[in-house]
Amino acid sequence: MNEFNKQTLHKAIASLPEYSPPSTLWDEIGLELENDLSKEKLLSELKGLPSYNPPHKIWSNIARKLAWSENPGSRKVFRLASWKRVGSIAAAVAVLLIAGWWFQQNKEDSANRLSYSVETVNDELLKRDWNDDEDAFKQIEAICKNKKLICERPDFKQLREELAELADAKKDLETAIGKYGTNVELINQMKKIELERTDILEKMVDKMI
Amino acid sequence: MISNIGMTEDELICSCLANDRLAQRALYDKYKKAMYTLAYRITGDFESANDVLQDAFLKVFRGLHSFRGESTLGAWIKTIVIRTTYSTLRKNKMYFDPIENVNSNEFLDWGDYLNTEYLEKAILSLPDGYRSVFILIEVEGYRHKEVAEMLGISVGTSKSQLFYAKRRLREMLKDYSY
Repeated sequence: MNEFNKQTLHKAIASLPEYSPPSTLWDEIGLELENDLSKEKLLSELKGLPSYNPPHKIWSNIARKLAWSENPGSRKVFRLASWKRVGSIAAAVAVLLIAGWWFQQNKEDSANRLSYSVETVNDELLKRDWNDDEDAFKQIEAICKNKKLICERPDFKQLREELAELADAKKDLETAIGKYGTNVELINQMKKIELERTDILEKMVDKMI
Repeated sequence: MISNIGMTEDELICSCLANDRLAQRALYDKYKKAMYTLAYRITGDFESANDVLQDAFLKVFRGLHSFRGESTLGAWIKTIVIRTTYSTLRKNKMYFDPIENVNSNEFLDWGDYLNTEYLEKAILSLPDGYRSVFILIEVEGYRHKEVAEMLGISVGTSKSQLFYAKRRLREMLKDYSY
C-alpha cells in the first residue's frame, strides 16, 4: 500500500481525546484487593491449625477388615485388632494341634482317625527379615540420642509404642511356633507383624529426614 | 486522586508489593487515563473499558512481584491491559478477516486535513479485528511482530488487518477530509 500524506493521519491521531475512568472504579479495585488480603490471612491461619494422629488401633482395624474383604470366610484369618490377642490365639491353635496329635496317637479305631498335615517353613528366612529391621531400629535409636526434639514428639513416640507392641506379639508367636512346630497360619501372622514393623520403621525414618 | 506521593517508581513498586493502598492508588492514578483510553478505543464502548481496566489493574497488583524491569512499568502495564482487552473481545467472538492478497500497489491519500471527531467515530465503527490492529500499530506504535505475539495471530494477518482498516477508514472519511 502506498500512503500519501500519512502525517495528516498521525496529526489527527495525536489530537484524539483521552478519557478518564469513573471515580468509583478505584473503589471496586480497592475492595477486591482487601478481599485478597483477607483470603491470604485466612489461609495463613488455616495452615497454623494443628493436625492430629489417629490412635494406632485404627490401622489394626483397617488391616483386619482389608484381610477379611480379600478372603471372606475362605481362609482362616487371625484378628489383628490387638497385638496382645495374637499370643492367646496362637496358643489356642497350638492346643488344637496337640489335641489332634493326641487323638492320632491314642485312637485305635481307624474310622475315627484325625489326620493333619504340617507344612514346613524356612524359619531362617523369617529370622533374617526381622534381623534386617533390627539393624535399622538400632540405627534409629542411635540417631534419637542426637535428635531428641524429633524423637520426643508425640507422633514419633506413638510409633515407638507400636514397635514395642509388635515385638511383644512376635515373642508370643515365637513361643507358639517353637513349642508346637511350624504352622502356616502362625508363620503368616509372623510375616504380617514383620511387614507392619517395616512400615513403622519407614515412618520413623521419614520423620527424621 | 493521589497522583504524587513523592516516591520514585521503584519505591512505588515496593510499597505496592507491601499492600500499601495509598501507593497502589498512586500507581493506578498515574496510568489510568492512558490505559482506560486504550481499552475504550479497542473495545469500542465505555462499559467494556470499565471492566477491562478493573481486571487489568487487579492483575497488575496481584502479579507485580513478577515484574522484572525488563521493560518500563508503563509498558508492562500496557501489555496486561491489551491482553485483558483481547480476552474480553474473544469472549464476544472477535473476528479477524481471513488473509487475502493485499494489493501492495494500492494508493491511499490521507489528504491535508482529517477531522479528529470523525476519525474517532470512524475508528470505533471498524470491525473489532481491524480496529484492534489499527490502534496498536498506528496509535500505540507497536510493530506487526509485537502485535502478532500479543493477539496470537500471524504477522501476515496483522498486516492484512491494518491494510483493510486503513482502506475502510479512508472510505468513511472521504467526505470529512480535504
